[in-house]
Amino acid sequence: MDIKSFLDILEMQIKENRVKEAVREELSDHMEMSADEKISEGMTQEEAEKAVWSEMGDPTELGARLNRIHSPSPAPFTIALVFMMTLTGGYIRLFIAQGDNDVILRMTAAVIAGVVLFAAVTKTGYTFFLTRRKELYEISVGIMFVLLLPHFAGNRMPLIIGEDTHLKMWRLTYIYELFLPISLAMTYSAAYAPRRLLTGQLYLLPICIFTLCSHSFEQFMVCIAAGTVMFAYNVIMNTVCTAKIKAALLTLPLALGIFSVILWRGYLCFRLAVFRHDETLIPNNNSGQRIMYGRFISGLTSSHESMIIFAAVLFLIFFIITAMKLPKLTAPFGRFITLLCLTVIICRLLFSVMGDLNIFRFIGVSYPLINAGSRSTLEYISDIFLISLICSAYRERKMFPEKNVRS
Amino acid sequence: MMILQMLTQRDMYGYEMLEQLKNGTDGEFDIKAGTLYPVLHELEAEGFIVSHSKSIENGRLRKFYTVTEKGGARLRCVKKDWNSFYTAVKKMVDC
Repeated sequence: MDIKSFLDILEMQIKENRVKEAVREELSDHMEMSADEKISEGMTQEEAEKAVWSEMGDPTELGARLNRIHSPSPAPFTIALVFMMTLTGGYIRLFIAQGDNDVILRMTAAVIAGVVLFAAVTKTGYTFFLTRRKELYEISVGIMFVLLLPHFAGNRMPLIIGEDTHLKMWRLTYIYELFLPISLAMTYSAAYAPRRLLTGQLYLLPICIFTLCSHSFEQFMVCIAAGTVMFAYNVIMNTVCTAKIKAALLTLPLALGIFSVILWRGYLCFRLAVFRHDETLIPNNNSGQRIMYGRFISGLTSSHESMIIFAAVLFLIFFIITAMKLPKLTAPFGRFITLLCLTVIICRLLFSVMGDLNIFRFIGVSYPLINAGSRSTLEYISDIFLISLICSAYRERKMFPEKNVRS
Repeated sequence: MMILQMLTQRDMYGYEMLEQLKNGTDGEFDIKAGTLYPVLHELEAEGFIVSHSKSIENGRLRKFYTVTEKGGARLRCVKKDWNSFYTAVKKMVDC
């Protein structure tokens, strides 16, 4: 009946590792202090530890109680809302598919992948991603770099990304959105800035490929300039900057990245709204058909339009609940991540609403979570990822303040 | 209420609180450590208290608790209820 055995049994009742660690640290301090006092009163080590065990009570019961306190539910109402939105989206898509097995199959696959992703991200929590902030930062900057470079180079890179550049570039933005909130969060504070970055070296290869594949002197020069900037950026980061300046410089390009993506979407919407008769602006889909613009689909009945309005109302509820919960979140990174994810989702929703009202023409943006499995499977996965991060932030408590993040 | 009251005076750690409870009540409240810690963690989860670690000898960390504004407000409310309850019971018993 020694202290170590007590703590081992207690630890087994607690699920989360960081909670285990913190509880063990606190209780071992208490038990050792108590045992020392008993020894000084004349007890032997063994007697003292036995007495301390007795004071603490049953380790299984105590561990289970502490586990209950530290395993709050990841917002059951939010989960129910996500479930309802997916169901609504599934219903609408099934109607639109009209027996198209391919769409139904993709939708089913997307929903299954979404459920798995939701469970995994909510369980592991955003701290998992924060501890891998350096890798995520590299990937985020890389995607931004790959996304923007061909645009700077004149949007003509057929050897790299094919003729259908518009559509493929568009899809990249979804991937970018997956990493962006956590990348921003991880560089939020100077204390958490990655010490050494690979950014410059990591992108020398794509820079070389882009440079070799350039078709004009301008493209060639843009690639060379971009490569030089990236390399210089990396050198400055790793050698000259203090932690605070580094954090500011790391956050800035990512923040600019997300706003450029949002503005870019807005610009494309505007361009399509102004030049809506210009067919050349409408890209083809994979089957060579013109992508549908305007309303969700021309054949929607009023009952299905009602379903879309219902979905929008569900999202409004989700927004209000999250906004109300935001000030109550005590973990600073959790609050920051929730705010960022919510901003991304709301921006996307606003574009969708404007498209649905025919203010803008649709260009592949649709209600978050609603068009699961159609042309925006990736968008659905992206939405699920962002919402999972929000739900995992609900579970975070300041009691063990994102300890792993600091290590 | 007693935990919150103790923490309004100064930051304390678990062991210290047990000692204070025992000595301050002439041994009437000899609470077991296994009872105290879940209560402390629940209070923290509710936002009534917050914890911070301080370095002690041998580089070890000790977890201290502090009462929050929310905890202070809660204490005032609970104290008021307790006083009403105590007065009512005393009045009944003294009759």
